[in-house]
Amino acid sequence: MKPLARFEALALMPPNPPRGYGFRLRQALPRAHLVPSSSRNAQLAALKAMEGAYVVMMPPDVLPKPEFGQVEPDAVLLRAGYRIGWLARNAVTGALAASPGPQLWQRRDLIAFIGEEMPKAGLPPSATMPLCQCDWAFNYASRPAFLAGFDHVLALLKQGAPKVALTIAASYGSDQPYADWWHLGALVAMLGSQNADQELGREKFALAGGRKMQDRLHDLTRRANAALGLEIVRLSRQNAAFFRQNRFAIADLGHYHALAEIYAPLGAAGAISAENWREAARWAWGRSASSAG
Amino acid sequence: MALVRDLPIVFMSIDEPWADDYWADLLAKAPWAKRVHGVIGLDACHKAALKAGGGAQVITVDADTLVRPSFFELDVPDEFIRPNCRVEWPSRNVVNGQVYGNGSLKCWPGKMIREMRTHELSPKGEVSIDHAIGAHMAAGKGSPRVHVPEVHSDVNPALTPYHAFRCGFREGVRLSLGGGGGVHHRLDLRSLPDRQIRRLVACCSVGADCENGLWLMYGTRLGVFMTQASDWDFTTINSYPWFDSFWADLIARRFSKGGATCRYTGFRWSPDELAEECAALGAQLATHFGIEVFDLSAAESRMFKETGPEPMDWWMSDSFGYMYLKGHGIAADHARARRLFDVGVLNEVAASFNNLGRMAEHGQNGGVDTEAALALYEQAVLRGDRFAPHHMANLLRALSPDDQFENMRADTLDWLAVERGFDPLSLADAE
Repeated sequence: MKPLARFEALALMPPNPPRGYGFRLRQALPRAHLVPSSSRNAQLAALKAMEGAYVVMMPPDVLPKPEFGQVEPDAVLLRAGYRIGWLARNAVTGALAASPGPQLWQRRDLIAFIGEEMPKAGLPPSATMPLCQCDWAFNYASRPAFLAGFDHVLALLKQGAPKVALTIAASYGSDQPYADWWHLGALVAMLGSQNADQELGREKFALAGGRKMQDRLHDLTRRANAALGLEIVRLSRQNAAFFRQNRFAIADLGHYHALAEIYAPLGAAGAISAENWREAARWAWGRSASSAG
Repeated sequence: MALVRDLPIVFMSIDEPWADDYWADLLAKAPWAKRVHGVIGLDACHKAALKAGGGAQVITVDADTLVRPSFFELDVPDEFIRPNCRVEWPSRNVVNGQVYGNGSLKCWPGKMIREMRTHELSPKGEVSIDHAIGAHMAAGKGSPRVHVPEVHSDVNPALTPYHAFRCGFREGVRLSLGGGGGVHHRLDLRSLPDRQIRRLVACCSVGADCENGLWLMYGTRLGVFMTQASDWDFTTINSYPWFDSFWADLIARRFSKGGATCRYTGFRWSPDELAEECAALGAQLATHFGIEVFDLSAAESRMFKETGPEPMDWWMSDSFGYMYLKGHGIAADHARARRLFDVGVLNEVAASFNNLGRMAEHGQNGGVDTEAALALYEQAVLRGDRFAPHHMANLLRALSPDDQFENMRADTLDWLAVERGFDPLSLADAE
């Protein structure tokens, strides 16, 4: 199988991308088509102008490292009809997440999905590789950082994610640019808000009126802890660096196991891959790492 | 294969006031366990443990370690029951959350213990502050260690201020010298491998939420400082009598007469003074050695351990594969080596790409495949492996001896290997 750099890619651009956005994408994916995330027509036009059967889909603000282009998608999964996804590292918290993350689609499926001819339920199944060579880099301005934090936490709450994921979202990364805005969005969402744009407007208005960002974050943290039974700590910038440094770019155990389950029924090659991924999980996380006797 | 519950298991204590409790805990889980107590010297203590166990192997348990019941359900495959192969299960440190060799459970072959000369018994003029450091083990080729990526024990070295300080200090010295298998001379701390430096920093920074956790951090920081800042003989950490004096004469006096009391020994100290001194030492480490340690609060320490679970040393699959490839300590098995390198590749271990490249180039476990070898070397180079540039350069020269471009590429790759710390020319000179 050829490496991803040789596939065509559909890269969705955020509204006001930072300088160098396209350059970084094309370093890893030289055949990337950059189109606005807001224009479905432009996306469809770009997809229809492509030639290959497969296309790499890069969500807005997801940027690859150069080595991502060297990754070879697994033929067993593709033959079995899977979309293949990879993890992206949150630029503020350092956590690895499958969404948003890059995915390799069959081009015809992506055209049908974006053109709304294919309902979500009809999408081919997705297999996420426990590998991370992309950054989810939303923290170049207050608005994208706030919205990313807000949407991320809403999704966590919706899927019933463990408390630890909420704690990380609301505390890690204070040393990173626009981290306060990410935390603000995350905390506001944790406290039950549903309308991100409205909340962002309110927060900006209050800040313009003299409210201090750190006071606001401390207040929201206290309230989130009380409401959700969390133990979020506001980290100093200095100590936040320590937390992020020690967040290893190793996927959670669940990603390994989910992938092994997908591989297991896919013939002899799939069974070998399943066994190898289980073994890889054992070397990464051990067998009984979290259960004290 | 040998079941753990069929192997002798020995609890080793010397002066720990909680040792009877921990021994009782072990005895409840493993009624066949034996105990050695009060043997001076870490080498001598292991020899006594072998004798107490009375078998051809012995599993050792340190006095600050609680073994989980899951351990007694394990087996040790026959291939590791060899005279020069030590099997090791890492332990989780409850104070700082680190998972590694400190407090680990070890299955030792009797021959290795009988023949090893480490710590206080190391040959004159040679340095040994760890069972894995230096060439003092019995094995002909280094000290083969089978690292099992499973946690079946929890170590708490901070049950009294003195023991916390002593353990922290020893770890500070050991880790700042490169840890297990590291060097036995001082080196620039910034040149330590990434995981080693992260572990050292975590040991210096996390634990304020635990009883005596600050003593562990203070000891670690002081151990690093004294090793790096002076020509102090760091091998004195092998001597527990030295520690007794060091503690009584210098450390205990400095922080005594405060509001905190040790529940085991009644020792009293001032937590505020200790915290102040710990922070001051941290600043010294940053100023003089470029290593930044952090003063995490109790809440931050707790959050760190709860939200950042410590993965295993996942690249150890590659070391294990290399043992199979070369037959170091265990029988050579290229198929098993290949499987472990394949697993390393899944976990993005740069060295595994390189080792698979070597296997493809030399036709080990399959035919010679230079094309695959080049692709694998390229992946290893991209991921920062230090040997791969040189192997790739050699292969390029061999494949295209008259191609000027490929030869220039090979020269550049050799330079890259040197940049990354592997100098093939100095190796050739040495040979």
